[in-house]
Amino acid sequence: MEFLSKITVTCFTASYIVALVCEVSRLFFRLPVRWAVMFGFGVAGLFAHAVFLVLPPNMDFANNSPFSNWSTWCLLAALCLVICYLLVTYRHPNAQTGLFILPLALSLIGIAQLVKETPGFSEKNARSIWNSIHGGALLIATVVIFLGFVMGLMYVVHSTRLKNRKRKPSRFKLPSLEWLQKSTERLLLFSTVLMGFGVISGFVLNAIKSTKDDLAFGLSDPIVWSSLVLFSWLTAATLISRIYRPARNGRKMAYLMFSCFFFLILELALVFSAGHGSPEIAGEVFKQKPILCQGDTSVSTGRSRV
Amino acid sequence: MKFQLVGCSHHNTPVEIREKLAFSKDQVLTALREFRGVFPKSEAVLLSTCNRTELYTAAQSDTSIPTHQQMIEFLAKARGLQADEIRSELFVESDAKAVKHLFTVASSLDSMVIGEAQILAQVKQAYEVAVQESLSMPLSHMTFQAALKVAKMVATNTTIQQRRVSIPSVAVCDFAKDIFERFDDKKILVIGAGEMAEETLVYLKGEGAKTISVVNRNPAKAEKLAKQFDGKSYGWDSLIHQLQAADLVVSTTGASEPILDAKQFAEIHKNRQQRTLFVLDLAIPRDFDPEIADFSNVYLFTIDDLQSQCDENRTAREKEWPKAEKIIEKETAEFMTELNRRMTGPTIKRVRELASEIKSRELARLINKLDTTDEKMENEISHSFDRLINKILHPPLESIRDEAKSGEPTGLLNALKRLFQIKE
Repeated sequence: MEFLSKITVTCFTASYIVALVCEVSRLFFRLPVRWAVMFGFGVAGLFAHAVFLVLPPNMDFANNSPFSNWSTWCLLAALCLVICYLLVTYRHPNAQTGLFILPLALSLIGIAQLVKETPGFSEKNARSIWNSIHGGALLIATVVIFLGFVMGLMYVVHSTRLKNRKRKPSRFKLPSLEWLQKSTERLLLFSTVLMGFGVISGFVLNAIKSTKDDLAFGLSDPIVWSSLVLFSWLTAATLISRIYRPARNGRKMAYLMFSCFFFLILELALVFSAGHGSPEIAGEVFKQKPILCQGDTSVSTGRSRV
Repeated sequence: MKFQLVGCSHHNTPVEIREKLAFSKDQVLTALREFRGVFPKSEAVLLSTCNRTELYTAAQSDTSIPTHQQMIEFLAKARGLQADEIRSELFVESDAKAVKHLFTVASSLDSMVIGEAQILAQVKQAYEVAVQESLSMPLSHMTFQAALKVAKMVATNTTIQQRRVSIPSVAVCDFAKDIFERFDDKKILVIGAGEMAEETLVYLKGEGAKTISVVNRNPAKAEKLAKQFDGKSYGWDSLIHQLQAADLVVSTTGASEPILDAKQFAEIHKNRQQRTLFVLDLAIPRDFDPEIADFSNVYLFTIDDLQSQCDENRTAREKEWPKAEKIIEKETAEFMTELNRRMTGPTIKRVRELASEIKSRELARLINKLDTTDEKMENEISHSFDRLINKILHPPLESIRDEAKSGEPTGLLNALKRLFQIKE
């Protein structure tokens, strides 16, 4: 089992890149075994990705929660996206959904690398159940919004091609408009519910941290109110689509999802730039234990190994 | 083995002659029964479709198989015609060329619509009918099984069967399926009751469509078409109402003016609450004002849009032709080599048996003379005899195998039979 500990970010990133290259090549020429190769690399990458995350130091279940720093959080989100990619590819083997999902997953892996030197979450918070709910709900909500964005984007591309009655590039296939529209609709609803959980659990976390005399929900924090804005926007979008039937039209659903996605990107930018959840921000002394990677001679604050 | 073919197809025989030579399933059975009566040592398969009638025969030797002339006479007699009447309309092939033709037909490269999948089922059925009539068909079995295998190889390794070329099939399988995931919960509206509408409904039914409405100026025609597809017919006055409810519209009226303009459609669109509408305007002149395509969530396709896709698919199929032909050529060559190798089998076996008999006799005589009881020594002598036989027989047998690779090894086989006095 020692070889599993040698898995690095490069291993699964390379697997996903090969899968993406296979997806791109489907636009240009036909190869009989390519789908199996592409799917195989996706599965292999997923396995390596999961092993990398599960093995210490990324996820030390004894001492840390799965959401111990932003780098791991991003890698987990990328893992969820890849799982979704494989499920959609299995369901629609002819559709090139990987062209849309894999770049997002790879971007998340890239962000994970960029933020790997940032301090981890405060140890006290990391161990709290509310932190797991908060981090988990926001992570899944992020994945769902990313997927919703991808579905919406595919809808717009597909719908535009059909609307213009352009000759279809025969090698570029996407799932049907009906499937894309229904998926976007469901993803919007899920993301609203999950974001709700994330925001509420965030309030609870802040309330727990505050003193009895000075109960604070952290509303002065730009991240908190920007989360509230995103949640409000998601709720409004969901309600509009539920109440006003024409808003359920695929293109409108896609635009709603795009707006949610851009709100989310702003939110994430704010979160990463402000170091949300780190001990300094939480007002605690940085007490996180230094992590010594295998073979390292120096102390590493990051979790990912490349 | 001898393999022969006599037949006619849409390539070189007019439809009047093809009609005369067409066999129903029962007629095929009767004809095969008669064939077995006349040529008991020969196997026969009769393939009869709307585009071709082909009689394939196979036998172990030249003497057992009917000549092309006899096959033509048989076909003519079976259809109550004179042989002279059809001789010039038929083509004949033998051995490798006949096998290649069968592989080409089964792979749908010889069909009127290249790549259509129906022909494979028809070839399979023709073989099954022949087996039903005559239980033992080893040669035809081998050839037809190979044909089915080649057809599957062509279908797997090329895209020749993947692209549809008829307008209704492209409309449903390429365009409608790009819009809708399923059809069982969709409301299908057919305007007009033309042939194209009927054909489109066949494909939609195949995809699971259940709710079908037919609107036509002639209520009797609408009723007839609706009944055929378990749908409901409506009068022309309910057209607007039906359009408001429909998800997919197939329009094929013979109207000289559009039946719906953009202004009329705006009202319908408002009441539809922007639900997706897929309109297949298969009429010439068009039934729907082209401006209707500008409404959101309305996907309007005319016969020209579909035709361009059909042409593109046809061109793509043609591009796959050389690849498919290469597969057929390779498989034909391999099949013939295998066939020729099998042909040499009985003679080689007989030569080996003959040598083994001689060895056994000579070994017994030698052991008797040596008067030995040493088993080890007996085995050594026996192995030595075996090696001797193998070394003597190896060059001639290898020459026969080599000849089999390049064609029918009749010359060397006959020589071997004469040299070793092997009788059939």
